Amino acid sequence: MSSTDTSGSTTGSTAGSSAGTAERPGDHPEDLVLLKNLPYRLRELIPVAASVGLGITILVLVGGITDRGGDALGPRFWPTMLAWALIGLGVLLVFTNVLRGVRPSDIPEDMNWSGIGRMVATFAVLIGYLLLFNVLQFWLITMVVTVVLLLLYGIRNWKVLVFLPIIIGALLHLLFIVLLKVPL
Amino acid sequence: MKQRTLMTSAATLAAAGLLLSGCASNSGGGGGGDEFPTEDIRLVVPWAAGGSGDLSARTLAPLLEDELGVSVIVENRPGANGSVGYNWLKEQEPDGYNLSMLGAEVATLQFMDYDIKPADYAFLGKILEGPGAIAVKADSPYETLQDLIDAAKAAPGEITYSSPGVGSVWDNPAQGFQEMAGIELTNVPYDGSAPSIAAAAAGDVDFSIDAMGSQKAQVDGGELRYLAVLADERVEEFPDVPTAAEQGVDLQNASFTGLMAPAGTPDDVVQTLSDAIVAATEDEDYQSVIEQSNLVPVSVPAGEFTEFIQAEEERYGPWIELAKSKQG
Amino acid sequence: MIPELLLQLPQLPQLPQLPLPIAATAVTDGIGVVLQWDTLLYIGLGMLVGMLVGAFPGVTATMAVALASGFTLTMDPIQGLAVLLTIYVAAQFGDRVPAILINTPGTPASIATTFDGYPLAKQGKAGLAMTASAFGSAFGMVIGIIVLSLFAIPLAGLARQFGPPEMFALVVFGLTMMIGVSSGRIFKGLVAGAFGLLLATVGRDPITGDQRFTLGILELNGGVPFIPVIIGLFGVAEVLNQMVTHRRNAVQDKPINQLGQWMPDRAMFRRLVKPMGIGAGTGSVVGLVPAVGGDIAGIIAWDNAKRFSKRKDEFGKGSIEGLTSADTSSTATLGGSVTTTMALGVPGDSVMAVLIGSMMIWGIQPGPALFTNDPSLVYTLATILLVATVLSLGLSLVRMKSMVKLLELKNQYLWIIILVFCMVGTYSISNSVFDVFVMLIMGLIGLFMLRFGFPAGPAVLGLILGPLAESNLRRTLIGDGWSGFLTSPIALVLFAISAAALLLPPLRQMRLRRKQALKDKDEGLSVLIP
Repeated sequence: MSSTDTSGSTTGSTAGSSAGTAERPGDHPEDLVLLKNLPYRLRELIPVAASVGLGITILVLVGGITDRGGDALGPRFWPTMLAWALIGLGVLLVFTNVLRGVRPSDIPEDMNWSGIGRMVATFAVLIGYLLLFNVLQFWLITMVVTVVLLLLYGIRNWKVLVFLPIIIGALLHLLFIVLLKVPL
Repeated sequence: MKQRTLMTSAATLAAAGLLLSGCASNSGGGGGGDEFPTEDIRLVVPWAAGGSGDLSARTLAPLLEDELGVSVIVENRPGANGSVGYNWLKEQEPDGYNLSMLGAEVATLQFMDYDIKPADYAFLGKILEGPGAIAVKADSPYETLQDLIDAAKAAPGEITYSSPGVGSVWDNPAQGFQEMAGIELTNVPYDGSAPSIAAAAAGDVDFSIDAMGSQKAQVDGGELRYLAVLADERVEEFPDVPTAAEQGVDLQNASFTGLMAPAGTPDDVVQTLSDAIVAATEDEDYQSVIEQSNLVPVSVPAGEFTEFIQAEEERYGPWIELAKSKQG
Repeated sequence: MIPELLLQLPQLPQLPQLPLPIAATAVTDGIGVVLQWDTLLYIGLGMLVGMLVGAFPGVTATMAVALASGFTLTMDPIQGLAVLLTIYVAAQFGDRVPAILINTPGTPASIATTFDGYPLAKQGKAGLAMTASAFGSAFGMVIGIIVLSLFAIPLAGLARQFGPPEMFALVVFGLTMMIGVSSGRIFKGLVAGAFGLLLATVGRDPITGDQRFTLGILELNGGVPFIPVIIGLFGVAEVLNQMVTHRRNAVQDKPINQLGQWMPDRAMFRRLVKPMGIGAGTGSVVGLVPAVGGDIAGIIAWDNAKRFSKRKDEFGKGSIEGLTSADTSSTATLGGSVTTTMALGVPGDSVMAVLIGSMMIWGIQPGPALFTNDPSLVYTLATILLVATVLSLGLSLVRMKSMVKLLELKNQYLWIIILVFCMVGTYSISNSVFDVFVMLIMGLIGLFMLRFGFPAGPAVLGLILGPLAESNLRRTLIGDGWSGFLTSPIALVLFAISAAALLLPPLRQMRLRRKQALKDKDEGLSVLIP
């Protein structure tokens, strides 16, 4: 557990996906260099919580499954076993990822608030779109959704705003409604 | 639906033309029945595309179009033992424009805590049947149904059979068999008919109870051997296979497929649809497609079909309750 | 431009070596009925449909074949088979495209394609990836066809040996792949795997029919729909991740803007021989087991290729070997799948289930009697598959440049196209709004997994194998109790292989570390030994 090299600290945080592309000579164990900064290690408590939390939730919900007794493995056996596995693995993660350090490739590119806002808004638009399936003309809502999303992503080029929705709407209409006869 | 306005108007025109020409044959029913199909009819298949239920719907649809003079659009809404489609139908307007295919599960899903009851539907007609059979591996020591019963009596719970899944149509006759013969068997459920029959052919279980037609491939291939047909008389194609009743167990059971509408559909609409279904199922092309699938085409009108469903519900209920109490 | 690998296998059925006393006329008859203009025309038609549906996430080959079977019923059986089988083959090729370019496997068979395909595309090697994938797929198909035409009947007998205990043992072996596809994060990989296995328990208990985790939602009684989950976890999650990390004013991060080198050179081909061989071997064996298809075969072959590769570190980060082995294996299952379907009457996968229905209408009854009654049919099937493969390979190579062009679009346009297409495609699987919700929720879960280092591969593996594992374990116990495993040699061998797969890598790693530590000590470097 001796710590020496933390060269890939904050600045290396985006290195995750691209670093792997460098050709390595072969058998050297990967990610030998673990990041030791406290924020990274504390961040690893979230996966631990997710794992243990899901395990406990399942254990609670398993109580609602009919138990038929008997000697054969019943409907509760398999989920219960998996739930305990999740809890056990969560505890192991505390040792491997929180106490020992974080692999550089586990640290993703930073999120930003405008990005999160964009995602939430996208979800709102998509759910609205989904709820209008079978209510309004499919090609119409598809075109409207495309325009709204384009505006949301900051596209102001009028040619794109006109043509992309028409292309997508027409293509989807042809493929799914005319060709595949999907009831939409 | 909206995007079909063009199609709809075209269909309406066609329908008008057909009605004008075909009035004489249709108006006999009276009571405004000649008014009914003015729009496209939606026929929901509550099973995944490609199965035999789907196939029967797609074979029947064009024939129904000929009879009714409007388009019949087939749609798959599969999921959860068919209950997704059945549930969808329950919530539609009872105007005869939304129909669904159904199988025996409509009568039995309620016993498995699904919110599906025959009372929620108007039954229009039965279009095909698949009589059941009991089959064993070709080299099985059981030569007759009685051999099997004797073996099960000697070792209660030791004899195993494969079924296409819990809550399937064939669980019920299996339960009925145990009741009538006074034996105890062990059910090994599989995921669908083909794997469950293959399990019997491979000797993983002692016998298979399923549609005779589904077992036929393995019987023809010399892997399985029929012990008994679960019908009131022997089947033409296999005259040597005795019925269960001949062997002392009066068990008859068949899977079936039919059509239904939501409860509350007006009687004259039901009558129009029922007539159309009967006429369509008497078509030779329809009959040959169904026969090729090793099923039996039938033409049962609404009234008779409704009584049949009620009888099935009453017959199955106690068996399912019994099966549930025994599991564990 | 055809690689030497394909040239080495020109004539398919080696007549004198046939293990069965089949008359040569059966072979010529079987091939002859296919090589006619109208039949070839139908093959072309099927190919266009298959390529088209394959390229759209969510539109599965099953769906296309089911729809097409409505039209083919009235055709001559050979022509009908030509259309349906070709759709099946071409969809396999088409399906690799979204898996590589946008990380969205359209069908489960391309799950392992995403492991290396998408990283390669991100490195600007989309062209090379797609070519290698197409050649791998074609090679796998050819091997599968050879297996089908030479060994159909004896191998079908082997498939029959797979009862519940053997299936359970095989699935356990499949589950050990979770570690291989965890890309080094073993514990997080296992957490993801357990999550996938739990997702698979939602619905009705396979043995007693009791509800589990259905939360009062009717649709969940049928279980969590599979394809929406993979589209969500892979494709949607990737888009969402780009969305939350995208900076409006930052330099456009254009991962895939060029085709790059697209035809592999001689050295590259030589490097691909081994993964293709591994893939073909793995796929032909796995394909024979009913209910196990290209998805599992791809993952197992990927793991095998990694094990035998000199460049293990590249796997999961853009290994052309990994991609090729996965795709070769996934298509090599087709031969086995067609074999079990035809010779046992048990559908090898959902497309085959649809095909059985059509064949019965044509008066062809799949089952043990099929090939003995009509020996020429094997060769007819093989010829259709072979012609379809060659044509699909050609079309894949030709239209690839235009497919990659699509990715020159701005990221924002791609997000919209991917999201809208995934939604409509998912809806079309069973005309269900619920499925689309599942896809969106899985997109969010996938984003969480991506941000916190949980690999998606093991989760999907768990979801596929979970029901098979649990139901076959319990079936065995109902029938024979635990002794069911002990009396099955196949099961015992498979358990032994699983144990080896689990224990060997850590042992090897330990040995390597010790060696490395010694070396580092010699060089006077400090090193971290956990």
